[in-house]
Amino acid sequence: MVLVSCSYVPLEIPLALGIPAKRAIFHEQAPSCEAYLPRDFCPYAKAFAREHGEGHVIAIAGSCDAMRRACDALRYFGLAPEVHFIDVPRSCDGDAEAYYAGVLRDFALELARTARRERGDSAEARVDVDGPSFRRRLVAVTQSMNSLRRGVSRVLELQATGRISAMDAMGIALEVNDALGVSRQGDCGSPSDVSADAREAGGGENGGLVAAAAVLESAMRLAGPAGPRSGGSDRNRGSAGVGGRVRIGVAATCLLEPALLGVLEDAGLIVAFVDSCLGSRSFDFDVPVDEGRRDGEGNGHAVADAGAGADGNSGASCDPFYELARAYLGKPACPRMFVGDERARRIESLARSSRAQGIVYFAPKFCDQAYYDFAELKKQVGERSGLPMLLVEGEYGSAESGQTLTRVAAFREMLAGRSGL
Amino acid sequence: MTGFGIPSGLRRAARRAVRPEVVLRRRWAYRVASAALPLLERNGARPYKVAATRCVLSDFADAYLGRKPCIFASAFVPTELVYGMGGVPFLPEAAAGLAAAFGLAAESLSACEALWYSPDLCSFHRAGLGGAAAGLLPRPSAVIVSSHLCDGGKRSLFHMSRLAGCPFYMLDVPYSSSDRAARWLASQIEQVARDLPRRVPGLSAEGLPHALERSNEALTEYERTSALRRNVPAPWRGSEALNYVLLFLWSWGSPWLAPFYRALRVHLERTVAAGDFPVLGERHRLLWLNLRPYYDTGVFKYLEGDWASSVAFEEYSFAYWPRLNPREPFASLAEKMMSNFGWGPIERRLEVIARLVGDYSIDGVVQFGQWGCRQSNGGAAIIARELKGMGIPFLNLDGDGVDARCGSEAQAVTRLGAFIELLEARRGG
Amino acid sequence: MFVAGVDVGSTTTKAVLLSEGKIAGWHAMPTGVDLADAAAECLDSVCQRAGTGPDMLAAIVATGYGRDRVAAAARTVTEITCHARGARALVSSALVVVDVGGQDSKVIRLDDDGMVADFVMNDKCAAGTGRFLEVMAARLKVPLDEFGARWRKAREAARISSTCTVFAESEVISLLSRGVAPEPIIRGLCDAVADRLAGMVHRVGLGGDLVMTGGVSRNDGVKRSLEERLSAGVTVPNGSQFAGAYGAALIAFELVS
Repeated sequence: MVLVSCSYVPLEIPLALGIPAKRAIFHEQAPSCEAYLPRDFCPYAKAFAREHGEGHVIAIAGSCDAMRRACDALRYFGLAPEVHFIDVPRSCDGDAEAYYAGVLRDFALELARTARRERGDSAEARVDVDGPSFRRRLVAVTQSMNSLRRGVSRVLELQATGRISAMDAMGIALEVNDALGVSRQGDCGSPSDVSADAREAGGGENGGLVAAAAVLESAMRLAGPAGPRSGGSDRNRGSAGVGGRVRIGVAATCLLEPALLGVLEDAGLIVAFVDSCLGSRSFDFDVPVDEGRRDGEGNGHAVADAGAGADGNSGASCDPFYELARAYLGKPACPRMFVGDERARRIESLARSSRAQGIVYFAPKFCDQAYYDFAELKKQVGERSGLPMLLVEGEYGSAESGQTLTRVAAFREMLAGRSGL
Repeated sequence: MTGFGIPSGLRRAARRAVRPEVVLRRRWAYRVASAALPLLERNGARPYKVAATRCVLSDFADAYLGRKPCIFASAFVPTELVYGMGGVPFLPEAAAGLAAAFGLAAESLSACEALWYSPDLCSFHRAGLGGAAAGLLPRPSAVIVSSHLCDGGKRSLFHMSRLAGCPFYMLDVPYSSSDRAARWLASQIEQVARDLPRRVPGLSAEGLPHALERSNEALTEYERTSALRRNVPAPWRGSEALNYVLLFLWSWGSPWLAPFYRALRVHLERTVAAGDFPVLGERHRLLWLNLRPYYDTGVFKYLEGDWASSVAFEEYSFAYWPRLNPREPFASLAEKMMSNFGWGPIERRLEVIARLVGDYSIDGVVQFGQWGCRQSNGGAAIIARELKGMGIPFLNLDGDGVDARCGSEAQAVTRLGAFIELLEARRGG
Repeated sequence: MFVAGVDVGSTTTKAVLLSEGKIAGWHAMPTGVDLADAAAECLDSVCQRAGTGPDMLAAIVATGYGRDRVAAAARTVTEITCHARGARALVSSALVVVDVGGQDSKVIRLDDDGMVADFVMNDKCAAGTGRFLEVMAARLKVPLDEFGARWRKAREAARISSTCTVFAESEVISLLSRGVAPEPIIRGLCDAVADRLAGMVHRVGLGGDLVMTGGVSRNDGVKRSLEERLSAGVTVPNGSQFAGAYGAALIAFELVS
């Protein structure tokens, strides 16, 4: 399986190669991480530094200095059988897209070699990532991923309308992610009932996609008109902005784990949206698929030229790597990107549309991107919209600490006081 | 020992008697300071110090008095680009080091905290942000950052561009060094060079080739000084050389860098010839990684005095790039940026460290663990393992280069002292 | 009708009793290890003095670090809201409240109506809290109560560069071993705490009357150092250490009336 560190890395690529892949989600930092990385590193980076890497291939994006060095540590100390560095640009103009298309193609080539080695295939059996067969698969997987993204976005919409709690919505998103890691053999790490369904559905070349679709379908059925899902969904039931509860949004670089959402909801807040790479930023976009190219006649020439210079994007629009690069770089921006005021505008727009009265910003301890992002948002959003923002710093397992609980409770009291609730 | 050898009385005066944000914008301040330089020279100040001071004053006057368009740049942007276009670069991170040396950093750090920036961020960036908010920095006409090496540099300068309402450019430096990557970066630099003159009056790309030539000339002189520093004992105090790292980051492409390094080279040649070495009875030679504390600290007094140990060379003094090609300025500057050993896989940094250990007859390596500097500190465990394999002791010395509140001098002295004892034991002392 | 507010802090538990909305008594005692016992005992004491008993109270509101351990509380409210309410009741013009307790410090900005408009709390580090000063007082062998008088005697402050409790303690030891008198060290320590507080004040915005509450507000040295740093006056009202409990009591009164 390929564990991916960043929402800017398309899972479509390993999945199209028949390799299960998912976003790496941890529940704790690695126990021995401080042997490899400094104390003042963010918990997510430190979570990767686990010995033997549980046997997974790791793909780390250049999200920040810490992840870059985490990638070095994994490689240098041999903590994972294979480590890939994905050079994700920080801008999203045509040149950056073309460059990233080339990076993605290289990633596909490297993974194809991995897949061949793992299967014990002969050199002749290599996958031609520019050939029609692989491209056909890539387009098909992209369509499936689009469908999944739309499905999870619908779940998040249900959360925004108060039909299900943020904890439940995040739980579904995480289960979908887990299911993508289901291998052809039906190996699935999650013990939940829904994942058992996914395990059953997880046969065939793209078992993970089938399993993930099953998870989503099952979740939507349970969250449908008949009522919310079982298990903690009473948090938000029928409470969208009523009963003295205050609506807020959550913003973060990486939320680390959903526990904070539970703390917020238990404190009497309604989490109307979650702008995090464990939230809407990973799902709120589509990768355009050229139906006419489903025959697999991709434009390999365009890929080879990708990043050729100032006009490197010309002619690349039919290339599936280019489409992936463009869509992923253009998705709702995370704090690592340099896209002017786009992030602040998006947060304001989300707050407006979901009637959020405040923002809780979660910063993983020692996450520089979050520290800078928070200060910028506090200034921009505060000045333009007057939305109060609360900074909550945390590590794995810190969501229920006394400090966090007091801050959250005080924030709720402050917002309730403002609203006269 | 005080950073930059600035007497403590002068620092106190700078802090209390004058308002630097006002003085820095007064023409008379530069006239007075320039007039004082010959006096310094007559009183025995070393010519290279006088040369450096003169040039810094000139650049500061250009920036603060608005004589030239001031372009803020992050630490690893090639300043040839700015000088070549007729602007004057200003590096807020490096200025933070200067502010710490003058005892002015505390105010900037407080101003930064008021803007909701976390104290867990690198203090070089926090002091820069606070300095901008407090009006201590000149007004930028534009901001250029590079994406490599350091997240804080690009983020803090982005904020400064917003504060000033000026154009912001980011050079997205590819991680790999493929031709495709080099072309992309070169095209970005070219776009900046084309766009800047349209948005900032007084700039033109015409001077770029000449700036690259000047940079090459300075590099030639610089390489000679670096070669002289291989001498055992060391001809230059490392504590002082670490101060000049700030100039090393700031000045490539300027008309004055080559004369400055020439003056330094002459000084080092004379020192070697006269055998008048700054660290008496040198017993240990250290390689210093990352920057140093720029505020008043006694650490180097112990190191270079009581413990007779030289910082023979510094990682950040290593000129890592090949000669620039004035006929291909964009490709050449792209190559310079991409050849930074702090970028790309850690093995590139390890190679440079191993090379410097050999070239400078190093006995031990000290990494200054600047609080919040993820890119440098993140390699500490790897560097320790690598050096262990080479039989070279390594110390990660936690501290803060600008924020004196975040460290303990007593603890730093104890740790460094224990490290020297270790070196002493290996030497059989 | 009696109501009470109880503030179970990490060091001290405070209770304020109101009769028909007016202060009828207050009491403070060390919290000790059993938070629930401390709250009950404190409420008992304050009621006894007023000739009533906890059972006669129409409502109790609990606040502070141990607020959830007060079984009799009709409601729990955070220290931030309670200090804001209490401080505004003590000083009607208060717009910024600096509350420095044993393990937490908070700066709260109020709007014109006295509602919390923004707030900031210290991080996990003890710098800028009462605990920091307690550790240093023990090292100096000078009671905390004397810090104010000693601060006034100091002509200048010794440089305590670190605000980390551990590092600052070693700096204090080093200064003492160099023969520096306690007075400048105390002033330096107060400056170090005030540095942290001033940073927090600037975050929520300096402006309007600034009121200091919490246990450390009784430390005149910290107050003076803070005034120097902010170039602004700091008001410490009578009963400032009871501001949280008073705010809780006011909320209790609102609940029943």
